[in-house]
Amino acid sequence: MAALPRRIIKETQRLMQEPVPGISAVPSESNARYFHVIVTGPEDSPFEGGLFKLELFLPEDYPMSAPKVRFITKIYHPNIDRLGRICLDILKDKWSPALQIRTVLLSIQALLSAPNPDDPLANDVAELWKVNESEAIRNAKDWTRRYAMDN
Amino acid sequence: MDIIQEGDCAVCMLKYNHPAKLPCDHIFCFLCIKGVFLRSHTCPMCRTPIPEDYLDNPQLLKEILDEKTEIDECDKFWWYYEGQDGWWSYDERSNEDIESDFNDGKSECKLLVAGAVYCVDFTQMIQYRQSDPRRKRKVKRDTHTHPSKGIAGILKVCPKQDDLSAENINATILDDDIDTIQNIHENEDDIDNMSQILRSMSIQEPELSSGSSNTEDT
Repeated sequence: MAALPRRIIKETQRLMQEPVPGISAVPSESNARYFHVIVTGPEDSPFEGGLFKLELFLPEDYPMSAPKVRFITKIYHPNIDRLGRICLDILKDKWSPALQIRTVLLSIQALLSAPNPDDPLANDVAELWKVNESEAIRNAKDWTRRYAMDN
Repeated sequence: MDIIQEGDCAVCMLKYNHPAKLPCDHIFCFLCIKGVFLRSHTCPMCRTPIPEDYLDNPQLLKEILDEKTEIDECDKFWWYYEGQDGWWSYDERSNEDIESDFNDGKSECKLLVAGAVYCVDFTQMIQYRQSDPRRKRKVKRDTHTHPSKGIAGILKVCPKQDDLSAENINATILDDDIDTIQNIHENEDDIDNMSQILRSMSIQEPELSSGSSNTEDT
């Protein structure tokens, strides 16, 4: 492991050569374990049309432990809190070392299509999502326009 | 779950290094499975529980060795770390990394082995665990024919001549942690090179559908 485990090098190369549609992940020049990520809001979701910035960091014992991922762009979502932290099982207890950066980002994109207010991280958002879904979706669209479109 | 590539271990994404098969039939490098086992006890591919005693009795598959590697790259030196009454050979991949950093004149080499980061310090000739530097062992660089207990915790097995054809030879596996080493029956017969050690551990053909992917360069 001169500097970087071969798996990380391989994953990075594959992300560049065969990028996932709607997702871009580029390693930082100063730290190959830190990725600048952009996820496009999925079609037919309140996040459609938005470009969401995330940061992804591969801890030292990756892939034995999960990547750390956080939204940088503000997003109105019941499973993402105001600090951008994501409530997603595969990033926590359901992590498996056979998962990869690309599968993690695909799962996050899927989470945007399927918010889960029953397993909330942002309680106020989840509450509104449950009692008044149309208003919650309006808020989500509004936040997408305000924070995820003008850059 | 996304299957990475046929013929590659889904954990390290490289060709299998001492492949071991779990009861669910998924195959990984032995050291990768060891790293997984120490944390989660479930198969990375299908989450089937891994038996508690799996590390003591893994199902090791025959390794396909690249003859060229044996001749060209294993000709001079190998790295060893201290175990109880004997030296362990580093696995091929770690050995390559250590040797490369050593030859580059670096003062240390970091390795990710079985889910933990180890640091080989060339000035003191010790290895320690990055998360717990008190857990040190001596290391040494010697000829690759230097006698060793086995490779990276996989104890070499020297079956009797007439047992060589036996289908099920179980390699005994030792815990990598020196403080937890138990008494094991160890055959001290000399095996004079790595390939013989590997052959002696071989149990059965791996169930890989494509042989060609095994020749992929790491």
